Amino acid sequence: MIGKLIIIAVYLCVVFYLGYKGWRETTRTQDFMLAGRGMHPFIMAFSYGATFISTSAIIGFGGAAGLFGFSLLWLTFANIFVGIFLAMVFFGKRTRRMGLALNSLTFPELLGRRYRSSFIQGFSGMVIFLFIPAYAAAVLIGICRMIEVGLHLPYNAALIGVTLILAIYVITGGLKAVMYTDAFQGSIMTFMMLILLVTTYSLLGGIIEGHETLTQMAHLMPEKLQKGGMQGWTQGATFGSPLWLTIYTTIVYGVGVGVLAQPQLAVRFMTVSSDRELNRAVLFGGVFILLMTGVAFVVGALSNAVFYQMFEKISIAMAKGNVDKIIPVYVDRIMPGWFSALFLVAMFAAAMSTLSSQYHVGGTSLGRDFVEKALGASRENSIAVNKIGVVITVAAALLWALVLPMSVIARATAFFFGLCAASFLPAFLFALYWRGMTKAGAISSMVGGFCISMFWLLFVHIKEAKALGLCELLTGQPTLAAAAPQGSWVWLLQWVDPNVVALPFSFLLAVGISLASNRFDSEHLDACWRNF
Amino acid sequence: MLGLGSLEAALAVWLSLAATLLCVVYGALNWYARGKPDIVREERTVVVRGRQARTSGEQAEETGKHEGQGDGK
Repeated sequence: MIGKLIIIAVYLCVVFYLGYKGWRETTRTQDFMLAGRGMHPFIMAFSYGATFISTSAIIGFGGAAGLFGFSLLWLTFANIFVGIFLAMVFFGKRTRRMGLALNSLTFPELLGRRYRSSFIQGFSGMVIFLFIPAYAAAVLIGICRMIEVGLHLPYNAALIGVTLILAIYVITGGLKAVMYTDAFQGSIMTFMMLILLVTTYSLLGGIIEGHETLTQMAHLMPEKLQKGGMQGWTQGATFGSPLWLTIYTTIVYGVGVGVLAQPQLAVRFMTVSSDRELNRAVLFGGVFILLMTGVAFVVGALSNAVFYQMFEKISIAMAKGNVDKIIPVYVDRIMPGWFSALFLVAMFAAAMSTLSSQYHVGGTSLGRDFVEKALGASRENSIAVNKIGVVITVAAALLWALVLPMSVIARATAFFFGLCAASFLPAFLFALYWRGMTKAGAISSMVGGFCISMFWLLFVHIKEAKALGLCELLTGQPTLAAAAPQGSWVWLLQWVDPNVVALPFSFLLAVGISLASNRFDSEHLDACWRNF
Repeated sequence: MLGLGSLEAALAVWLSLAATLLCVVYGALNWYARGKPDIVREERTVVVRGRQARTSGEQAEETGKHEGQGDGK
């Protein structure tokens, strides 16, 4: 225990030093909001990666891989190909150039200026501010569960302690502090995940041997999961079954595509000075993501084989039914004591890197995009207004973390990614690539995508609709599709992610309304395109 | 198949590795590529006795102003 505390103390010292460095270098609004637009590609890539990949991916989705097995590697593929390659090459470069041309400091501000709309900026800012605390809460829950298992501290004390540490350096140091600490935290995560992978395969006698052991354990898949369509941890799920729909529509599609419209990630494209930094970041980012989600999902799946060899129990039984505890229990029971301490620090790093970015983007969305732009407040004290926004975001995330139920990490992450995709992706993509996209098209796409996403969540998608209870209250049924014959396509809609419906709808609105409404004058479009 | 029980799982592993390789090759080949120079550069501000002042009402052009060179000092 003393060893763990010493390692955590050293880690926190470095984090606070980097936070202090960020604070020292933050003198202008651009520093607080965009890290001065001059970040090194390594820092940018690791900050992007560490923000993208958090305890949600490692503990939440790693735990989900303990249930669903290797199918989750499709999400790793999506994370790398869509989340790094497409995002940086096709979105990142144009975002940086247009952000500079329009002198935008936030993602909503970029959309607002591109479409000449205060409503778009204010609406985007409010969506981000209102919903990012739920995503941040999921990350916070993940690290606090780790602390509860690893340091035997009360869960609520961990929640408050972690929140205070983060609040100090995000509020004072802005995006520079966030990115410096992210890069340090990302480096720790890389090292730890490599050790975790090598140890796991060693315990199982090698790569092929480990996979074969897990393949032969298909009959041990819990009955409830088998009924839902799971065939085994390396066999996948039956096509079209409820669990197949959950894996591919919510986890792989929802998160895999949703990454393209994540405001806390998109803003990082504007922190570098040229395309060269983004090109280099593609290299660093691709390797980083493979080592993060790739390793987490492989280890999560293989934890079943390791646990079974040692305790004759599969992972979910070892974690006493809580998916979010599979990875923490695996590290605590299987890995050597020294690793447990270091891994705790790595997870601390993963959570803090994501949380700091979420707090920052939530705060700037409230301060810059809603209070200053939509409400027209003065920009005399812009940094102070944004700092107050960060404080409110931090408090909201803490409240969510206190009320959200167990096993919520992966689902809350998927929810936020999906909501962002449905609300922002068409408007963001066409802002960069289509001169014919109009203000009316953008507004209808954003509002329409958001509304359909929320409707599906409240009335059709069984996990959320049942938990929230609004549909039950109004119709007497847990979902609108619950009364359909079991096994019919209408009944299966209950497991289809909101994004599957909302995103295409949002694209249709964007294109349809733009074609039918007045285009921007060429002078404005030329100004937006100046740097292309 | 890498010892995995389905093509679905094996393909996910291979595609993840292939996507990483794509990122590495792209990054290496474009390591020095800066792309087209920016026509519009950042609007700069300077700190004067603890207060911020703009260097220019408009954004500085490519050949234009750098921090501390503008008209807001």
